[in-house]
Amino acid sequence: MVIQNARILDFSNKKVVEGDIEITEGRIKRIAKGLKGNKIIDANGLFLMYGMIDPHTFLGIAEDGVGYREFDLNETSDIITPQMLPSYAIHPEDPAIKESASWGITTAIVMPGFSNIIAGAGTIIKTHGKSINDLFIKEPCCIKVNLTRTPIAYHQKDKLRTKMYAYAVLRKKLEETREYMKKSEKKRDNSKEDMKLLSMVLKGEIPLLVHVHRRDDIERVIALKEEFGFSLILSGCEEAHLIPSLLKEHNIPCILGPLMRADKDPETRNTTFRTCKVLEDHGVKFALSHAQSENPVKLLRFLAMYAHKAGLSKWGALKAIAQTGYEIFGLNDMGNIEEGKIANIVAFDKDPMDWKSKVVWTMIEGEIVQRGEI
Amino acid sequence: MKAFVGARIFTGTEWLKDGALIIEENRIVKVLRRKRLPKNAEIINVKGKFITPGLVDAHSHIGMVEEGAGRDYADLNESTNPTTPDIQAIDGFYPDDPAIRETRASGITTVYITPGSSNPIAGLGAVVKLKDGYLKDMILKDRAGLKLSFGENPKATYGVNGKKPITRMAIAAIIREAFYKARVYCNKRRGKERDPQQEALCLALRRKIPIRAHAHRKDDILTALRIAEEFNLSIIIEHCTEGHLAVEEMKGYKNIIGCVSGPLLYFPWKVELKNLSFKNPAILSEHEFLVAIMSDHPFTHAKYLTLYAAMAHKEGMDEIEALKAITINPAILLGVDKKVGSLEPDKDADFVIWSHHPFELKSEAMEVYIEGKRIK
Amino acid sequence: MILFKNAIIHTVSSTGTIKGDLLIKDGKIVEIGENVSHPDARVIDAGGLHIYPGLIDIHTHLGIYEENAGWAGADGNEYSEPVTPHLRALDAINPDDPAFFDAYANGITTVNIFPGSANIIGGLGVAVKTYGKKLKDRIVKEPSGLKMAFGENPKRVYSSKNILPSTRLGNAAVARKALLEAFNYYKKNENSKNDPRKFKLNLEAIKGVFEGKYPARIHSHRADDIITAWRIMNEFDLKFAIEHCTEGHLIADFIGEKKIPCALGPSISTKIKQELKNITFKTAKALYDNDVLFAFITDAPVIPIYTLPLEAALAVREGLPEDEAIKAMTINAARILGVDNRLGSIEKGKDADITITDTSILDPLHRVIYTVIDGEIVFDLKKYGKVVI
Repeated sequence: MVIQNARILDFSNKKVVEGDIEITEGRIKRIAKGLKGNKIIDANGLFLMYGMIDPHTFLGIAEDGVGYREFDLNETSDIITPQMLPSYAIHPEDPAIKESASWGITTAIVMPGFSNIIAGAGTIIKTHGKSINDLFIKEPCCIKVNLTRTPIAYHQKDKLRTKMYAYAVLRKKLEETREYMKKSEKKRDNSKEDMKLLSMVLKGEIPLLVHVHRRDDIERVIALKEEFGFSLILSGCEEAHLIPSLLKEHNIPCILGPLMRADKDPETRNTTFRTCKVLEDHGVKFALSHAQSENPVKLLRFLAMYAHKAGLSKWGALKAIAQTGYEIFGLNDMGNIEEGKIANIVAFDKDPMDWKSKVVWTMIEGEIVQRGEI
Repeated sequence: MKAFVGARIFTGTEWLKDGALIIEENRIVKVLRRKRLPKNAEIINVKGKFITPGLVDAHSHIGMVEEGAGRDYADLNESTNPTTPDIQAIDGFYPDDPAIRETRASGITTVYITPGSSNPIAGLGAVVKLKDGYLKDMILKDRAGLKLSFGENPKATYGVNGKKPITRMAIAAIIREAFYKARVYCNKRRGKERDPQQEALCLALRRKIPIRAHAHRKDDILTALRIAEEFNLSIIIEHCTEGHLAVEEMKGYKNIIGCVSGPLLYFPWKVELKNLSFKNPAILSEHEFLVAIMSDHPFTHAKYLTLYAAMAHKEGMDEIEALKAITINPAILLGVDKKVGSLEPDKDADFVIWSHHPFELKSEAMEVYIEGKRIK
Repeated sequence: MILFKNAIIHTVSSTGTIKGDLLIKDGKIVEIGENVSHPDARVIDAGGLHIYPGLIDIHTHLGIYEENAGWAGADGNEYSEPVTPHLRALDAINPDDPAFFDAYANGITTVNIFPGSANIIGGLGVAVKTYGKKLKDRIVKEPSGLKMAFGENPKRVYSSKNILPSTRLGNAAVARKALLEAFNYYKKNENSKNDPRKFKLNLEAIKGVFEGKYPARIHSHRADDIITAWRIMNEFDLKFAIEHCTEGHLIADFIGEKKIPCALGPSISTKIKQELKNITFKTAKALYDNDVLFAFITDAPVIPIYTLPLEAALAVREGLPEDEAIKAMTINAARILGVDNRLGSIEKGKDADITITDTSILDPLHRVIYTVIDGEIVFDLKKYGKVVI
């Protein structure tokens, strides 16, 4: 299949290139001019960008229109629940999934919510399919930890009142995991799913994704990483702009967001879109996300616009929604329209950073799954 | 090299009328009696002023209860479980608490932060310097003490809700049971299971860190000392409110390193505070206990530490002893006296230049230095 | 006295959009046109810049759900009982809420502040300028409306307390009872002298709607809740506006026919409640096609106040004409509030509340260069140094 006459956004060279794209078996085979093929899609000058990724969502588990009582977001019966796997809770019929695809988000990471210290696993999905088997890309892709005051707000009645305790509980669980890993295979209790998942973290097989707001918490989490040796991704990071050198020094990637918020409490009082520029200037890797806030996933492109307005470079803004997220989670065959990558492509009628631009079609793995914004 | 010349200098142990404080980079070189100054020193004239070491507050929750942020931002008491030996005050410490800026501007440069007193086994404290920069650079000594709480607070947290401990008996039992279990773990542990809670208790059992025992009333002070003796723990009594009524009995216990008196500018709103008195540190000091004076911030604001010491002096404490109670004594009790607490060679250049004697109400901390860097 | 020269002035009036100068004196707009000059004026070159009337958001909780304050600053919903008509947003406003700065730094110069939607009758709103030295001087209209609510919020709050209302049945019953009581009170007092023994503060608050002093402003998302609001208000022949109007596009012809004004939005929202199931950016166009008077709202701080022009932009993408979108943030809002004699457009004699941007205010990438309130430059991007988002 060949897409002809496209204006291709090339993140590597930060240019718009005119040309054709040949797609075979769901992957981009060639980009050149004058390509031919059996099936032709005339892009007719449309702007093609790689499919966007929102790396922190509750798609399918906090479903549109059903009401919060039906949510499968927060297992509040305990504060440590690493074994929560979203694949068993994602409802593929959640209208938000199709809607997100129609607005150009081809990939999303679904995670449990903010109520627990160790919340559970992250699941990478594509935004198209009838059953979880169709949507499923990878699980677990990370284990989510919350070190903000939100778990305290949920559990302060009887389980958790201070952040000191949250850190102590997390540390204890990691030590417990270390001990579990020391045991020989025969002696290990393999029904302990929580231990197995956390072992994957301590072995470096999957990262720990830690949601924090304040800069001193970022420092603490980095110290924990140094102590236990796991791979770290920071989420939230509203105060990352106060300590960018530390993030650069330890090469910690960030999933920034939610930035478009107003209900700021003392922990998030320094939330600003200006964080993006500071991180870009310091060479810190970051992706943008709505982060399970009350802003719908479909508006991801507008987050990039606001980040650009606040000083982030234009290509930096586009990469933050369509490339870096893939990189951070090791999805190396995704994240730019280039040969070899999976053919997740979105066609816009104008430059994607133009507020008037609209998605004309969304392609996932070489198949057009949506035509136009829902 | 800088020489601060012409002030009256309190070194941490004595006053020099007309001395010179020599510092280089972040260290103190020496304090000279006569004005025989090193040749290459930059001379700074501070005639008429007073210099003291940076003040040390031996018991505070600064940064843990953010000034002006309200009840949702208090990281003081993990009141969900009476036994939390491994929680650390440093994990609840907010370096940008406005109170920190105010406090160091009043000359307090080193602080011991600790969990609150809701839990009989409350957790680990740390010594921090109130300087700018990364959190890790502020920590002078991590895991510097294990807090135990006796008396009314644990009962008021758990007992009133029908949970253990309802009585002082149970407080002691909870603590003793925990140390018995920990003893077993400590003796066994060579490459065995690592349990952070047991680790914390082991630090105390191995006398690597002291017990910081919150006790107001005489009976609670004696219970704390009794338990320390049983397990051979080194112990410091925090508040020690009725200590001045118990000095003879306290002397019978060998494990006690000292007492941290305060908060003194306070109201006896609990029964155990009935005998609260500003004479407390003076009397303890006369009986040769090593005494420090605390703010217990936020219960009394840390920035007024000199006021609390001044009032102790007014109520009978020797002036030098009162100054030592907020400089060298707490440094010794906190185990950081090699670095702070007095103006001696090779210690950190933490010092304060005052407009008047620090005990005079109108005195102001005009310049404050931490490790040679002027922070005010 | 300030003279802005060479700007593109969106007057939002019959004058249309012109290229020219704008003269401001003593807090009012005094001259608009080409080649305006005045010897005493401070001249600011606004070449290439766009001047709009200061934006107006007629449904927010600024100051009563304060930024950065947590529980201590949450004073928007008195959910101790469902009918609290006499509670005034005015009595809970923190004038130093940082959100007011966010507002005027982004071109929003007047906000209407309401109690929340936990209660069937929540209380009285107040419209204020987002900047001013004294709160009293900032007030534009007080009371600005009687806040009411139908739908899921009241029944969710009170069903958890096992109090009426726990259903939409209850919602309507509580509303009708309160209005009936107020109606009887209104009829009895209408012609008699003010007897202090008979004075009831809560019923006085509802009486203001009967007297036509201010409208009821009724939170409803679902189409049936919008119709419920109309049926009950129609029973008593009362003026009202619909807040949010989420399913307004499903009954746009009805809303247009009955001439119900709408405070529309926020459309930037996940469908986190069932009644938001049909939320869409297309509602504005549908209302416009049916000649409905509507204005965009953010319901800040539910979403940030600076997203007001984004609400408009998203509606333009779905077909709403651009100049209609501008009206819906300016003159329409002023009309619904009943303050269009002094706000909402750039015309001689109106308050000098304007915002000046480097490109169309509908483009999310626009930057606010100046905001002027009551003739004073309250935000200057050059001086402040960075955009406020």
